[in-house]
Amino acid sequence: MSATPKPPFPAPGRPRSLGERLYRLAIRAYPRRFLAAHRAAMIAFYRDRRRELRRDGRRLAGLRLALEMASDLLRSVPLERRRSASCPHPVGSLMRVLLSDLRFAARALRARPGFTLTVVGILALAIGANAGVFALVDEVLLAPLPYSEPDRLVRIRQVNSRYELTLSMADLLAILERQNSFEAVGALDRTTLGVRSGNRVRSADGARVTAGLLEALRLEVAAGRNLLEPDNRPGAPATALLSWRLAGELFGDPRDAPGSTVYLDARPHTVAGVLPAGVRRLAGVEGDVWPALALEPPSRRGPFGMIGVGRLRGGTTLETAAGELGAISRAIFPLWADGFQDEEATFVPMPLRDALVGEVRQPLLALAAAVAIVLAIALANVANLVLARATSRRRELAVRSALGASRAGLFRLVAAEGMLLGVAGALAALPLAVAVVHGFRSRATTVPRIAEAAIDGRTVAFALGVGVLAGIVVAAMAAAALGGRTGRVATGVRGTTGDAGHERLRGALIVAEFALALPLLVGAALLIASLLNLARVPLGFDPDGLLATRIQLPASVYEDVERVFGFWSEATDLLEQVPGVASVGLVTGLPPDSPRWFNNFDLADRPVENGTPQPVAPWSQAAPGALEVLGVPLLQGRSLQPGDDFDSGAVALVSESWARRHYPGESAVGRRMYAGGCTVDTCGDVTVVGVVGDVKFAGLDAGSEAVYTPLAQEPSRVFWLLVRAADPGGDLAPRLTDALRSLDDQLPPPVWSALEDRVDAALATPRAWTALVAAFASVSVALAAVGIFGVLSYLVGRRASEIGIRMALGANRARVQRMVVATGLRTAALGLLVGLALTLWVRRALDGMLFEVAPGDPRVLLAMTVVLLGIGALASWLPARRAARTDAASVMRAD
Amino acid sequence: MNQPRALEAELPLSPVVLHTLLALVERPRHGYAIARAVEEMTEGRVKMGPGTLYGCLSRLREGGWIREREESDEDAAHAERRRTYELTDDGRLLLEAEAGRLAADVDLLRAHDLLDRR
Repeated sequence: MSATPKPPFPAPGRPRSLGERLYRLAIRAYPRRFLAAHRAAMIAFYRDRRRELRRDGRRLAGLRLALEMASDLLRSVPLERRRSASCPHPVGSLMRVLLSDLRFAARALRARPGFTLTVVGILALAIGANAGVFALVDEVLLAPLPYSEPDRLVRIRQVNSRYELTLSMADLLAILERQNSFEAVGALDRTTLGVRSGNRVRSADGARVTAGLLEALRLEVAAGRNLLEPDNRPGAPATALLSWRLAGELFGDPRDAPGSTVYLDARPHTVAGVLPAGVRRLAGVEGDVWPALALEPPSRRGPFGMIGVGRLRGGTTLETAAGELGAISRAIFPLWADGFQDEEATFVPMPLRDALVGEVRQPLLALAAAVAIVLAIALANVANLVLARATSRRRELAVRSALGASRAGLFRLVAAEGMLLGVAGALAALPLAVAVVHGFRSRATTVPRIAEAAIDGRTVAFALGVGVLAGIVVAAMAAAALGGRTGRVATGVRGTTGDAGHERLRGALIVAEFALALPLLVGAALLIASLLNLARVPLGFDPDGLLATRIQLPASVYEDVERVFGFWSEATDLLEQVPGVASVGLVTGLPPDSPRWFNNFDLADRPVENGTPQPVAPWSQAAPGALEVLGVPLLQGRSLQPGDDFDSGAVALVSESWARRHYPGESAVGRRMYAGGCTVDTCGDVTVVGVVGDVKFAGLDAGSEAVYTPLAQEPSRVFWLLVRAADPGGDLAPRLTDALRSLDDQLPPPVWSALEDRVDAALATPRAWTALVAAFASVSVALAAVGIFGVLSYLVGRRASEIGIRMALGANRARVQRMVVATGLRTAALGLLVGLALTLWVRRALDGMLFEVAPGDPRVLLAMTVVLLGIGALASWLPARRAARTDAASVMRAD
Repeated sequence: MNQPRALEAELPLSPVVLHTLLALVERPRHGYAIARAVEEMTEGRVKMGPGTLYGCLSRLREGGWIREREESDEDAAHAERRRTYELTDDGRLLLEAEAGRLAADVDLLRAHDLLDRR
């Protein structure tokens, strides 16, 4: 047996995988003697293991291999290095080594506060933004719905080729009777009700629900009993479920609620049960009160409006359910065909998750992409900083090496520093992440499920993960800067061979930063343009000084239509007399996005083909004078008059867009149409008597078609009271409330909203998206500017002697300045060229999200390119000035 | 040549050492085969990477418990694969000593009714 190790075997010459190259690098941490004896054998071991894992077809073989090797290295490297006499390896020594590395690294970082704080600051910014967006995406897109086996839940829609109809009672009953694919099916009919218990009256949102819905959701009550099938039978005693919150408000202890009576729209209901605390949404519908839906057999196919939800039977696929639902739709069509001829309309199932969040998936993913770009740019900047720092650390590291620090030790130091910086950045990022989530949550209230978005364990883990990634980047950069394949740590001499490579690397990083910043900036600019377009949309009415409140008259009190008429005229009179009121009106729909409903209609002289869907339009009712209160101008024909009532012919006003769409180039006045499934034999037709100005009723980004019928001809117990103030600044609301109180004090207290605020709220969500993206774009541009500034300053500093020589030989300051700026601009321009190619992705990402802006708009592209070039030039100019001020003599003396 | 140290001073053996020696009982093996054998015989409980393995093999060799088998006629390119190790007589004795120690412990546990009746 030999006492000296055998000579090392020559390294095998086969091609090496990336993993092997990394492993070869890593094992340099072993002591020299050990390596000499076993290096080849260990590499052979690595290859054998790799081959075996891949042959076995193990999933993630590469990852497994990496983990195995990593843990082996962690165990054996410190051990071998201590040359311990016995084989067992206590874990304690490993910990000691790691801790000392960390302590060393922390000290090294503390000695360079400027560098450390800058890096941690940049990382905190980028990681914070990413963690914030992650929290949003996690809650809205990734978190499963809060029901058991949520993937089996399905929304049952009814659609034709042009729009969505939702379900009617006829549809629901047919589905309940004939379906087989679902183990439970139910429906929600959204509503807002006046809730009274004792002398507490308030308004509450919710929906009428069927027992099947609760069964489908598998929702248990926290107190009392659930709704059951008998509760939905027509004529059954009225029952309801309450939310924990509402039950607590009305009864003190929610557990006391079951069995008590509560008045919903003045009709007594028995509280059957109370939902668990925190449950304020059923299948996406938000509310506090859930009365039982009475399954009354309908007299016609419509009206629509119900939301269907079902739980697929185990083993049944969505396709099977779709087939069955389609067949049911076809089967029931003939039953109602005389009043409903849309043969295209069919029932369609859709996973509930997609139905709830499908719309926001694209914008959220675009946001995630934007924030990832910020991270990439930040990492590039940090890499640049580290490279610059590493070069100036050469002297320090050379001294350490001369004093006995091994390469492995230096690597470990550098790696520990990187990890510390990354983790510190991640921890410092959390406050920003919280701010991002809170800011977005409070403004973009229409995004589904956003209210639950919060910084939780997963977000923190994500932030730490990104921090570790950043740490690895930092460590890799620093290690690369340490030295090349020669294995010697360079001394402090300038101009060593490593530097040229560094320069190229740093230049490449700047190119990457500009390449990434351009598409993000273009995206932000497009979103801003879209938002501005949206904000400039002509509303069609005058919101200044206009107040509105929603009134819901309980059917049990206002049973016959005369009483309702009475309320209308008394309320109008009373309010008109309140000092400060200019005019009062009554409507059932409110711009910009709350029509009474969308009604279908068939033009009498241009009916649609049999079986094809009829057109729809936002449809609202108005009392005479109400449109004038809104400020909608009359363009043709006449406005609504008191004479338009039950005894006179059915009339309607249409908007200009409606007239242009259905009677282009002609007058719409005098035309007739059959609305809402009415026919000649049933409810007759409606005559257009006037054309009014366009008003947005279907949202700011939708069309301006609208139809208005007289309130007296289509009366409603639910309507809006409009009040225009003579002086917009005054505070009328309390006096208006008092006036209404005196009329009927059993109604829930009216909530007055200003129309201006409603219009503003319609912009709130797009504004929130745009603000975030714009913020990210600004940060990216700032980072890119700082990056190019940093690199050029470094360059100028390094080349100071060269510049000095040039100037001594006659180059004037201006020329030197131009040289530096040109270098900067070249880099930026190269980056922008690459960035232009990347903007193609922006088009795809923002497709459909923009309002009246083309995603490929070349003007925006050009403008943002010029902006970035300009910023690049500016950021280059400052170091250029410094270069120009170089004192040739002093520089050469110092060299 | 190092003198093998007194056997008792080496006990108890760590799992890595024990299984390495066990892997060589049947026949000599090369490095990777030892690691595979150990993984199989312990059903995955003891996994050895190259560093751990060769570190242990070094020390066992220094202690005289195993030796390298000289391969005479292989060309350099394949040589590292063929560096096989085999148990020395001292190594075998060490293993038997550990076996005896473990058996005594097993008897003790059984006497206290802590072992399953097989």
